[in-house]
Amino acid sequence: MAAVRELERNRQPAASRVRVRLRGSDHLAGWGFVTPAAVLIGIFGLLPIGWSLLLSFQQSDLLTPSTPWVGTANYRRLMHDHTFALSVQHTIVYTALFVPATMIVGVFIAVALNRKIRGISLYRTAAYVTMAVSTINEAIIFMWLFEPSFGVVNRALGWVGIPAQQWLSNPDQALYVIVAMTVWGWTGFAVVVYLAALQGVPQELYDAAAIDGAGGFASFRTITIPLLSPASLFLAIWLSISALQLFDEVYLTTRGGPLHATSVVVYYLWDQAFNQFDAGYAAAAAYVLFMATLVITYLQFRLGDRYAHYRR
Amino acid sequence: MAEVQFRQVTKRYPGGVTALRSFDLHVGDGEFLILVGPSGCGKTTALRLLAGLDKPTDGELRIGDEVVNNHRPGDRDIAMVFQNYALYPHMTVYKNLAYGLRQRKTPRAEVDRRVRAMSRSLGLDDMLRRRPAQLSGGQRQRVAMGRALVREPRVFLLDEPLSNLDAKLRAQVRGEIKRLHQRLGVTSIYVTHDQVEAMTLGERICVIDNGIIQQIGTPQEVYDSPANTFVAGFLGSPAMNLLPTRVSGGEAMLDGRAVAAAPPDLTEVIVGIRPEALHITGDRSDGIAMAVDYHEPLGSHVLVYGKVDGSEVVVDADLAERPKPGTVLTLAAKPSAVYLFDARTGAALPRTGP
Amino acid sequence: MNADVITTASEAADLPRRSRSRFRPSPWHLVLIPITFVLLVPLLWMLATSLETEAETHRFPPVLVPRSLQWHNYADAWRAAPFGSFLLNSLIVSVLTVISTLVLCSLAGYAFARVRFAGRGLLFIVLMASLMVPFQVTMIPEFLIVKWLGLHVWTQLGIDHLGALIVPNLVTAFGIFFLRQFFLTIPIELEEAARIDGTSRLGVLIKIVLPLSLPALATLAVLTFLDSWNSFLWPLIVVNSEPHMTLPLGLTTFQGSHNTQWSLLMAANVVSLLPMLVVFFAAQRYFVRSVAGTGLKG
Repeated sequence: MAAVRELERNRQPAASRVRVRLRGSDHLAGWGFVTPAAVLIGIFGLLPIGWSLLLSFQQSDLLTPSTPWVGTANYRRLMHDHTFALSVQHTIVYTALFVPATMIVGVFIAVALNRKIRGISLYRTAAYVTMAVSTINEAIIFMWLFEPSFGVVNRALGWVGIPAQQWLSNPDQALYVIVAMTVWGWTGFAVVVYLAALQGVPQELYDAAAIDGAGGFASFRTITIPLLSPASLFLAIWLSISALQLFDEVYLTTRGGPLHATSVVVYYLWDQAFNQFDAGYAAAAAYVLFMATLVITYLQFRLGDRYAHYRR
Repeated sequence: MAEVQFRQVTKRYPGGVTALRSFDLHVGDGEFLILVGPSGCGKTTALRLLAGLDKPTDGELRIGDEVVNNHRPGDRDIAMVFQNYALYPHMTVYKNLAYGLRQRKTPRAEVDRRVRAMSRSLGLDDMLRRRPAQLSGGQRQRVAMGRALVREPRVFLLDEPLSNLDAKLRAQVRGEIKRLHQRLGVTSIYVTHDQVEAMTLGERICVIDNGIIQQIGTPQEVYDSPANTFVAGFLGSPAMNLLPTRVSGGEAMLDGRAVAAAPPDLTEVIVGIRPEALHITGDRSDGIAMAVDYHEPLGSHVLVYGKVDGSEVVVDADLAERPKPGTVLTLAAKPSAVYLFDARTGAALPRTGP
Repeated sequence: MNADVITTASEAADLPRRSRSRFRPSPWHLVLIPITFVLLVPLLWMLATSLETEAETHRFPPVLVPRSLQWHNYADAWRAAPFGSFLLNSLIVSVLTVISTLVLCSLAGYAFARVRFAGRGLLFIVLMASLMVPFQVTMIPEFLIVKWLGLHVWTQLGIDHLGALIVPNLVTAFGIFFLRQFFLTIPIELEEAARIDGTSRLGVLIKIVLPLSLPALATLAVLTFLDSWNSFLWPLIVVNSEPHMTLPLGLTTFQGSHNTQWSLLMAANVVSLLPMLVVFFAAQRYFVRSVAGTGLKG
C-alpha cells in the first residue's frame, strides 16, 4: 500500500527500531512472543512425552538416579500381569457403560430444555450445575447417598422391599456406583453440548416434518437424532477419552477396591509409580493406555464420519 | 382438493400482541388465493394457523367440511412450501420427496412411483441422490415444491417461496407455479409481501394490514377500486399519489381547482391519482401546478417527482420529459382516474365526476 | 388506527408453538420439574445432611428436613481442618495460573495468528501435538522434573510445593489454540491501521486485539480456573503435607479422618463447593460458551 511505502521511505531514525511491517515477516517479534510459552510447554509437555517413553524401557524407582535399561521387559510383564488385565477389563466395562448412559441422559434432558417457556433459563442453569462440581465433591456426596447403613438409596429401596445393598463395599456393585456418580457429574456437560446443537436446528424443519405427518417420536428419530450426530460424535470421543482416563473417583471412593474390583488402568499405573515405586513399569502402562486411546479415538472418527450428517 | 374457510379467526399472543383479528376468508375449491400485505401484517400467521403449526385464540378453521382446529398438522392433508424451503439436510432429494409418504405408511412401490413421477415433472431426476447442500437455490425450491405436491394434498400452502431467489429466477419460477396450478388445480393459498407477485399470480388477492383484512377481490378489481388508502397505496408501483385536500363548496380543491365532487358534510378528503394517470399538459389554465424536485429515467418512461400544494407527487411520464428541478409543470387527469378517500378513516368514498 | 404493535411474521414464527395465555402454563413444566429435581437431589441431600445432627443422620426413615438447623456443623468443620489454608492455597494457585495462562497464551496465540516468522508452522504443530498425549503419560517425568526444579530452584525461594503446582500449568497448548482461533476472527484492518500509526506489535496486541477479545479471554479464564481449582491427580502426586494442600486434597484428607461423621463431612463439602458454585453462577455464560463452542466445532 502507498501508505506503507511512504512510511518506510520517511523512516525516522528514532523509530527505526520499530519497523512498520504489516504483512511481512517479523521473526524477532514472533519468536519473542512464543518463546515463554514454547519453553514451558517444551519442558513440561513435550520433554515428558519422550522421557516417559524412555522410562518405559528402563527400571526406575523415582528415587535413585540410576535407571538401568531393561528393553521391553516392562511391556512383556504387562502382558502377563493379571491385575493389569483386570484393570483394563474394568476400564472397558466402565467406558462402555458411562459413555452411552451420559449421552442418552444428556440428549433427553437437552430436548426437554429446548423450548421457550417461562423459567426455562432456571431449568437450564440447574442442568448445567453439575459442571461446577469437582470430583471430590461428587465422590463425597455419592458415598453418602450409597452408604450401606444410612444412605438414602438403601432407605428408598427399603421402602419398596429391596434389602440394603453394600454398594461400594460390594465388588460386584462398586464399579456401577462409580458409573452412576460420573454420569451425574458429566450430565451438565452433555446437556450443554446437545442443547447448543439443538438450537442450531431450525424450527422450520420440525414444522415441515409435522405437516408431513411425523408424530413427536418419529420426528425425534428421523430429524433430531440425525441432525445431532456431529454433537454425538464429539461427545462420544470426548467422553470416551475421559472414561479411559478415569482416576479421581476411583481413588476417592474405593482406592481401587474392594479386591481390585474398581481398579482401572490409570489407578493401577498411578499406584505402580507412586506407591510401588516402579516408575518404568507405570510408564509402560501409560503408553499402552495412550496407544489404545489413539486407536479408539481414530476408530470413532472413522465410524462417525461415515454416519454423521454434517451440514455445510 | 377442498374449500378453505377462516371464520372469525383471531390470534393473540401472550404479552398482548394480536396478529389476526376476526379474520374471515373463504377460498373456493381449486382457487389460487394470495394473502398479501407488509411484513408483520399477519399473513404468515394465518397460513400457520391453517397448517396447524399454531392454534387460534378464537374462531374456526375449516378444510372441506371439517373443522380442523384440533387436528394435528399431519392430519389436515395439507402441504406447505416454506420460505427457506426447510428441506431435510441429512436426506437425499429422493428421501426428502418420499418423507411425507413414508410417514403415512404408504407402500414402498407406491412411494417410488409417485416420487419418480414428481421428480420427472420437476426435472429433478439427476439430483435424486444428492443432498440439499449440493443444490442451487432454484433447485432446492423445486424440491420443496415437489415434496409438498407428491402427497397430493387437499390444500397447498406457500409461504413467500420466491423471496430467496434472485430476480431472474423469481420470474421464471413464478411462471412455473402458475403452470403447475393450471395443471393440478389444487386449492392454493400463497403468502407474499410483493405486490407484483400478488398481481400476477393470484386469481383473487386478499390484502391484509395489521391483522385485519383490508380488501378481497381479483387483482384487477382491487387495483381499480381500492377500498381504502392502504390498499390504494399498496398496489401499484410507483404507489398511488395520495393528497390531503380541502373541500370547499362540495368540491375537493387542489391548486385552487376543483378536481372532484366530495360529500357535502366533509371539510377534508384525500385525493388519490395513480402516477400513470397523470399526464403533463402545456395548458396552464386547465391543470394543476406541480413543482418539480427531480426525475428518474427508467428506459421506457420517466418518473417525475415533485410537489402539488405541498404534497409529494409522482408522475409516470413519457420519455421525452426531462424537466429540470424547480420547473413548474401542469398536470391533468381523467375524472374517472381520480379517487376520493375519507381523510379520517381512509375508506374509499363513492366517486362522482365534477 | 389501532396502536397495537404486531410482531413481524418471523417473530411470530419464533414464538413457542403451543403458547398459551399467562393463565395456563405450559405442560412441559410437569416434565422439567421432576428432571431438575432428580438432577439436584444429590446436592440438596448434601445440604440437608450438613444441617443435621450426627444422630439425625443415622435415623431411619431418613430425615428430609432437619428439625433444627445445625449451623454449627459448618463452624466445626472449619475448625477441624485448616480449610482456610486449603482455600488460600487453591486460590493462589488458581489465580496465578489463570493470569499466567492468559498472558502467555495471548502472546503466543497472537504470534501464531498474526506474526509470520520462521518455523511458525512447525512449532505450532509440535505444540498442538502435545495436546494429544494424556496427562498420565507425562505425569511421571513431570514429577521428576518438578522435584529437580524444586530442589534447585523453589526451595530457595520458599514457594516449594505451590511452585510445583503452578509452574507446570503456567501455559497450555489448548489455551494457545483457543486464543489463536479467536484472534484470527478479528478484522486485520484494525491492526493494520494501528501499525500505520506507529504502534508496535506488542502495542497492537494490548491496545487493539485484547480489548476486542474479552469474551474469549473470559471463557479461557473460566475454563482454566475450573480446571485448576478442581485439579486432583497432580496435587496428589506432588503435595504431601497438609499446609500445602489445595482444597480437593484437603477435603480428601478431611474425609479420611472424619469418614463416619457425615453431617460434618457434608458441611465441609458444601464449604468447598461454594466457591466454584459462585464462580459458576457469575460466569455461567462463559461455561456454556466454552463447552458449546468446542462441541460444535467437533
